[in-house]
Amino acid sequence: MRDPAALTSDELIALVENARWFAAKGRALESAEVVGVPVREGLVTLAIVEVRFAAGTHEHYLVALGEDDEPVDAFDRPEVAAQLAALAGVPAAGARIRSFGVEQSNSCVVLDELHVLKLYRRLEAGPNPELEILRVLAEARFGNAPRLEGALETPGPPLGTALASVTALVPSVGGGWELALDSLGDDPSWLPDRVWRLGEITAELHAALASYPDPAFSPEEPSAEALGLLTAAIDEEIATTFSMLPEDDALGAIAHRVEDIRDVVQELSAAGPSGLSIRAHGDYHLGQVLWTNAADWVVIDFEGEPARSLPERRRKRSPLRDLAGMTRSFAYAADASVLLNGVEPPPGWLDACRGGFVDGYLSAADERLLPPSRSGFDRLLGLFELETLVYELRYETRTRPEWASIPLVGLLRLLETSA
Amino acid sequence: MSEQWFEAGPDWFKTAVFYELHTRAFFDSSDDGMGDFRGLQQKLDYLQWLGIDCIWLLPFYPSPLRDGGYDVADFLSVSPEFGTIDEFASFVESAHERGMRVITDFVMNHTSSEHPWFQESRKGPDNPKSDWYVWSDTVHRYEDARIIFVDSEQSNWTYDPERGAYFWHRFYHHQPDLNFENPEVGEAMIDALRFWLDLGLDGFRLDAVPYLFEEEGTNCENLPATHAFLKRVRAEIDEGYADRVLLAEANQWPEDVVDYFGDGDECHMAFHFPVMPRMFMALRREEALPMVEILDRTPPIPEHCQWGLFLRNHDELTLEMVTDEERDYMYTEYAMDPRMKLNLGIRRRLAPLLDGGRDEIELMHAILFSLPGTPVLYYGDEIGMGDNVYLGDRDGVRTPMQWTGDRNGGFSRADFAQLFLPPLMDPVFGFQAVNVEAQLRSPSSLLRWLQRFVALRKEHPVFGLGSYEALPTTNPRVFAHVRQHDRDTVLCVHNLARSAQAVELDLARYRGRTPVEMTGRTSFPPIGELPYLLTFGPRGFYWFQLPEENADA
Repeated sequence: MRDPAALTSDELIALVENARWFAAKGRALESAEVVGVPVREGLVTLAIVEVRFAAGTHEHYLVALGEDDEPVDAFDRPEVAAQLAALAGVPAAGARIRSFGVEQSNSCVVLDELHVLKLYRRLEAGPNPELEILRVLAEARFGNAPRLEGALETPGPPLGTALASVTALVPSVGGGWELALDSLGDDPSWLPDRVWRLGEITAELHAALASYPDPAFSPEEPSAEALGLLTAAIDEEIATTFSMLPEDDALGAIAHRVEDIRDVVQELSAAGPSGLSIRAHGDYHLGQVLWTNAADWVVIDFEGEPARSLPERRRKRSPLRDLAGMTRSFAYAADASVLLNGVEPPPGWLDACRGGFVDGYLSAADERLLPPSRSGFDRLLGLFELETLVYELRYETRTRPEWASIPLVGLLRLLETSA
Repeated sequence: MSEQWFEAGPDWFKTAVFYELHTRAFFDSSDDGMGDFRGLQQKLDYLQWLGIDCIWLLPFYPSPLRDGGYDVADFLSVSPEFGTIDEFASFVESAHERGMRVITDFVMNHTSSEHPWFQESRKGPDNPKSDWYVWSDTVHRYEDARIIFVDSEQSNWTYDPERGAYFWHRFYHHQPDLNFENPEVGEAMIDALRFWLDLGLDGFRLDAVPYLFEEEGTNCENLPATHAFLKRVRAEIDEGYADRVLLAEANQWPEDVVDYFGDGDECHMAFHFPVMPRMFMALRREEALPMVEILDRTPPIPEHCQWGLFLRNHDELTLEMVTDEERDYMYTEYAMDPRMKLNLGIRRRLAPLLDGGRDEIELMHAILFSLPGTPVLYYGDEIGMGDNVYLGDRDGVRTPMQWTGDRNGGFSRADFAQLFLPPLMDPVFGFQAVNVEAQLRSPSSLLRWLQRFVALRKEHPVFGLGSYEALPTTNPRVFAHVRQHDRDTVLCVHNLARSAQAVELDLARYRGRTPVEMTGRTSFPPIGELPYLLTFGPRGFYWFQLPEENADA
């Protein structure tokens, strides 16, 4: 094969630009260059590609180059995946492999129905939040997350970061998102019957993360200006998102109401004390939980929101942010059921899901992590739901406009209830 | 051993935004009336939100505090009132976790007279540290060296009765200059730098570097021996540590300051002092000329070097690098009350200097952020804090950070009388009117504006990396220039007048391009054959990207 450093900018751009995990879709690329080859052993060549944008900023991506003359990503070739797993500390020679679900920002394969090998694609300097959290959860004996079996890390330069991880495969019926959608067709009470438990294990997850004696994890009293910083960040995000909304009739109903939405932010920001800040899941929704063969929930994918920077993803925040991610996900499932399958959820389905989940959470919650009053809890949860909604709106209008109606409906609902 | 928190990037400081602060004045976590490292650590989320890349700490070493801590009594520890060395290391680690680097002031030129080295040195010519300082039997040496602190010192020599000789000091008489002719002194300094780098510090702002060596018949500033020593420091640091920065404080003319970059083998950064008073002058006179002139006079610098630019800092607004006439002008316009003057400068903060004018504050930041260099913000100026001219020396611009409208401005829970300096309480700039909490809540506040503006600058590395070219304008009240890096071209146009203005710019070489205003992403009319006409409100400005044709921005 060719020396990775000799790959041309055009070849590298072609390699990353259309990959599912490439986060900067639609941005003007200036050039790309291999800036490091942290692993070159046998069949495995991992190269760090620096992708530069027209404005001069850049991002780093990890590619697994094959033996071929043409640069192709060879991660899902069985022999490459097996050797990669071995490098991460899990021997898997001759393993059968299959691809694993659809992950947005990374690549996963299953080895011999025993291990999940994940290649991290977008690289940033610093500790990988997923590895950090899986290690803490193992130590805390939290049973509802996959067991970390191995990891492959590089100390840099050009950057110190994790390249790959191996976790034990959790035998499961399926992912929460698919199961929720399917069940709406034939068994609409399936999810409402199980959200209480989901809330409960979420509370246990947070308690485990809050109990680990390490400065990167120990709960912190938010500073006096923490809520102000949060509100300001959400408010700016709203302003930016709305200023970049495409001209579109469907968006007309909401596009001119940006000031109303910002008023809601102001109102919700009077939530009072928010409870302690902790490391949490960070990108919590139905797609991040599995319903196992043992009839319980398991939480996966602890990297945090891919669109946020590493320092932001590792930041301690209120655990209510995770709750908001999940409750918004219920609303998504309800709307997606109509959009995708033409199946209208029964009346009260969404409220049952949200209510059961929140009650389950509160039944097991570590109260130090919550606002002291129920009204403070509801306001803060509302604030995070709004933050999530705005994020959804930006994501959907940019990547799949036909889904933008979901956050739109959510925002309008929010404006009605707060009016 | 230490985890790596940053991409390798020796030029990181070129696209960064720096923030200068006093540990003492930022946040008090121990309720003793004085800020500390743990307090600082608790405010890192705020600095991260603001978009800061590098925190510059004023001196925190043990010190009798007769010069704000620049009178260092021990280079290898921290003043106990700020906490322990472990707490300091923990603060640095937390900053790194958040993607922020930390540099600190380091004073090479002199020590406090209470430093054990001086105490030993003064005992007589026979002790081992006898010539670690510059001793003389006469005051008639180095007579061409100017006196810097003209308000408080009569001579650069002070008699020490214990040793029965005079010692040399370029600053206060309680700050004897170290004798760099003695190689042991240089070694001791380099050891001290290593000590802090090993703790994780990302570099140093080198205080008062022009004065390290003395030589008869010269003004004892910027001597070749001084440069040779700094090059040696740089080589030692490059050898053992990656991605660190040396920022020189050399309050000199740009043609002298560029020597501190060497051939890219001395300091990475140096402050551009003379541009700053000229920005204030330009604003007051409503004309671009003072800035254009000083930038014209600024020589090119080596590739991996950068200017440090600022509007205000912890010292007086220094007027050493202006003509006498310009200085008189500045005093008349910006220091109506004689109390506002100090040495050759004006001891006031940004907001009061600009009469609290929001348009003026924004315009000055716009100019600062558009110039070739790295902006250094001074704590409190992001919320428009004021000053207290009734406090002594430079304390008036070093009052407690104003976090909330509560007691002591949220700075400390100690009794008011215990505070190291009283927080501002006047009706215009006091903490009840000006504080972080209130400004966070208001989308139109100065703080929120500045946060957006920092983000905007950082989205466009051209501001840190690009070339600078002044554009001739038809209107002397308008300051226009072009920054360019690779294919990114940015046009910055600022109206210095307090009235509406129009300007025509010759943009023929960009014909066919469509300027995109950067804050609102609005497209302006394409550049055609005719001069490009722009109109401004009072103190208004535009930044445009000039994307190449057929390239999507």
